[in-house]
Amino acid sequence: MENILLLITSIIYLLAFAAGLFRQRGISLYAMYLGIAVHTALIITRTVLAQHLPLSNVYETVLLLTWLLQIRFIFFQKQVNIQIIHFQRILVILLLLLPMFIQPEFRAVRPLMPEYKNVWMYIHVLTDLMAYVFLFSGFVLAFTDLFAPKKIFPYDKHMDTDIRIAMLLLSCGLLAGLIWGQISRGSYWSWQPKEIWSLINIMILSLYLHMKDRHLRSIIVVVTVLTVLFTFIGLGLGS
Amino acid sequence: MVRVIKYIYAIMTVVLLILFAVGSFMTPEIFTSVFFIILYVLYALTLLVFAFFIPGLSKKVPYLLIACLIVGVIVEKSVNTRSGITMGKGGTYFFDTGRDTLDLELLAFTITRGTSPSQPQVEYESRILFNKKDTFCIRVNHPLRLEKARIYQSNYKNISPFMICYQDTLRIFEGQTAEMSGTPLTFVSYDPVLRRAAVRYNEVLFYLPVGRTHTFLNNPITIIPQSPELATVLEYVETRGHTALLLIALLSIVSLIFSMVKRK
Repeated sequence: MENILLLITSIIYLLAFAAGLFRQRGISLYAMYLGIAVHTALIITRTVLAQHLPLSNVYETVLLLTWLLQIRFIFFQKQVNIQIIHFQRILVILLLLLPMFIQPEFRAVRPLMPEYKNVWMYIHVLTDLMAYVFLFSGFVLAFTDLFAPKKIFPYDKHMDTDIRIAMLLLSCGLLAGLIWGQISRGSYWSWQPKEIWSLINIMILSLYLHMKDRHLRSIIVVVTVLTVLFTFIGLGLGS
Repeated sequence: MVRVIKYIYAIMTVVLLILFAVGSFMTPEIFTSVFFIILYVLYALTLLVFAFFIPGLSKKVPYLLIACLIVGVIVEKSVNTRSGITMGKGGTYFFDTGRDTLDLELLAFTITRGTSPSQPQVEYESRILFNKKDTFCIRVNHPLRLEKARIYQSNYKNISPFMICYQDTLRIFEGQTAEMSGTPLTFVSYDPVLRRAAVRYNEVLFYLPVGRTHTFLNNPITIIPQSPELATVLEYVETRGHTALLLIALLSIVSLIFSMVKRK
């Protein structure tokens, strides 16, 4: 059931992207809404099956992250031009394809580990996911800024807002993670790879605040997204 | 001058980033080595100097607070004691921290599993007799709260206790397990091929034969390994200064928000 819904969601998003490429804006938009509806059904199904919010492993968090991203991009659509919209849609499709490559044992519904039964875990993961949404949103603009053949329009203000919000949310997420670690395991910081890379993400993004040059800022955003993907997927698989 | 400080700050940040990235693939202990602690202190100092030179209070405060946070964490980690406690059922643990006297006895350890045996555990709980009078249940997320310390349910594992048969007049092996700490003598490992047990006494390793009488510290003793049993792993953690650290961390984020809003 879940796999079918995931497949349908991906196909609808692909269709919406294809319709957008052929300048069928109306069809593309309605397909997007339909895709979001199926995506929502997928998340609800997972929540019911797992009997907890889908935040306990990479598969579940990718489902939620892509859903949040899609919502963010839908609201953002009127402010950007079609090339940015195409890129946003590709990004969501690529991220949504990731769960298909995750091994079944990492996707299976499992009872929550004892340390996950803590309100701070939910606050930590949700805050980090929201940070990733803003970071990816800024990344689309930074990537376009770096690689688009011509300047589409100045995105500095949008990118700046997104990255600043991402920076704050990442810091809050880290703080929530520290509190969660202290309450559940008695250790707010134990130099585990995931903790270290969460700090690295914030430190790299903090460099953004010190830069004046637009291209350097865009490069930092791209690098941060790469390190976030490594932290989120590379180190998060199986946890 | 400001420019030089800014460059030092930037270089130190990049150096720390690279070291963190490389170190994350190594053992966590390297991050608490003297080299890293010196680096953290230097970084905190750089932040302080940087904060002193940059104009505007809203810009200064986040750097000051982050520097305080770094120093605070170093002090907290060096002042507060952490100690792992591993006990099988009926096992006891005595630990005098100078502030607290812990006399623990494990009455029971239970694991509640998921619906299928292949699924991970959903809850584990240690029932503890504390200082020979009160009984407490310690679970993950529900530590035993002492005045300035907590005892957390950390993990569980299988241990192989070693029974000392006779003439252990010093009673040095009594109740010893692989992970027991707090005594000068600790059991380290057992080699089933050579049938020898490794024990550490005053930082010296001894390889003693198992299953037959042997003289150790002028005492004839016989070590007999027993079948593995499930043991709870608890963690005693002192929590002095944690509230202050949390407050500084919160203030750092608030000051960051304030600084960003003002800059915009």
